[in-house]
Amino acid sequence: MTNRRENEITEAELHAYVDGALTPARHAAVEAWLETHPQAAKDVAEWQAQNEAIRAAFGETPVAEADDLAMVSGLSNRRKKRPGRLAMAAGFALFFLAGGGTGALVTASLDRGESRQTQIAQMLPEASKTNYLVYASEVRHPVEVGADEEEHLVNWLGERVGRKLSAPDLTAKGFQLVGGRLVPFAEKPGAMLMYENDDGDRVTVLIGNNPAQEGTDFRFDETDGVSTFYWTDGSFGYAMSGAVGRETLLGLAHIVYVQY
Amino acid sequence: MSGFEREVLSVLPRLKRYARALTRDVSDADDLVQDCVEKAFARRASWRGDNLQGWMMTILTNLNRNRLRSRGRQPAFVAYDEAEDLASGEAERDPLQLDRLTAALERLDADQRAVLMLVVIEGYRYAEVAEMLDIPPGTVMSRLSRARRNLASALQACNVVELRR
Repeated sequence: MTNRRENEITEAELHAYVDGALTPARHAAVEAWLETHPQAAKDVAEWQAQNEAIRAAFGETPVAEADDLAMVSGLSNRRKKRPGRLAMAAGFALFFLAGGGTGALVTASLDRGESRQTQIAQMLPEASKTNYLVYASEVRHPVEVGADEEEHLVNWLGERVGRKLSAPDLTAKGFQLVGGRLVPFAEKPGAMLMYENDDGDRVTVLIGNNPAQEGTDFRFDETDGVSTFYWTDGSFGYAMSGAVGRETLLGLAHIVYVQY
Repeated sequence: MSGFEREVLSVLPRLKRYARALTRDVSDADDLVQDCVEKAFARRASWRGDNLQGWMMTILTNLNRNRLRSRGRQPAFVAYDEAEDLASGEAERDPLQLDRLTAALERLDADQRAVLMLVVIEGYRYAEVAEMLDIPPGTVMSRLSRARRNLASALQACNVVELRR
């Protein structure tokens, strides 16, 4: 035993190894040690598999959801009688291990869907406002794909949302495209586009599915200083939010309305 | 909307993900997050003005522990042979229990599950978890170790149930 410190591996280090928390030198030392310690190697392999399974089930990227704002502003009517708007991937991803039992969950989610579809006129402005509040305040990562890749952006989002998409040109009103991102809306992929003017004011456009094809005319909503115009057209719903004042937003929303 | 509300809104997606990793279903998780938000607003004065996310994760962890206690269903890990019977009984009552991972996680005690999820899902370092939960680093390690060993046994137990179906 030339160097006891180097050769001795504690259980704490095995966990740190599994969680990728060791320095490269210690990581290598543990790796070498495991080759001659099959029982520990078996534990480590088991824990690594657990980590992967847990991440697959629960590790989805956190995204803003339609009811976030209601939760924070104390307006949530979800408690006890919640329609269950967003039975998200977290629940469904669990089936990677089981294979069985899917029938029950799928049924549950369909039941929830019905109550949700009647609320699109309520969900659109709420979701749009939440997206605006969460993403427009981001300094470094307001969007997933920037305006420099506009073609890729609209093709990608269009494909996910299920309609041909373009980024409306708002330069006449002084707003440039910042970019966009994929957002959940009514349990399906939705698209968000963000624009910014020279003063740094931002506005967001939300395009989401409207499965029940409910009709909503052009409407306005203003809460907490955020203005939102929203409307539906066939299978899709649209909303535009910003803290730029009603008149400015109306001018912008009108352009979007015409182009979509 | 105040600055505080805005900040809470921005950490909400992370809180929801953590809550979903701690609970049985999305509805439970959202109730937990809602409670956590309400508590955060009530205790707003005691927030020191930094790391809102860590502060709220701590509140949520404590609320979850209390929630399970008050329901009287704080799940304790059960020995292998007991687990077998328990699991087969539950499997008939609740088709969701067929999911091995969920079923196994349900048997971890709340403290072990919290440490496991803070490390694996939320990516906190061990020292950060110790600080958030106000426990010594050694306790973080022992909870993590027990969580992993118990989970391994529980997954095995669930396997047995599945083979017998």
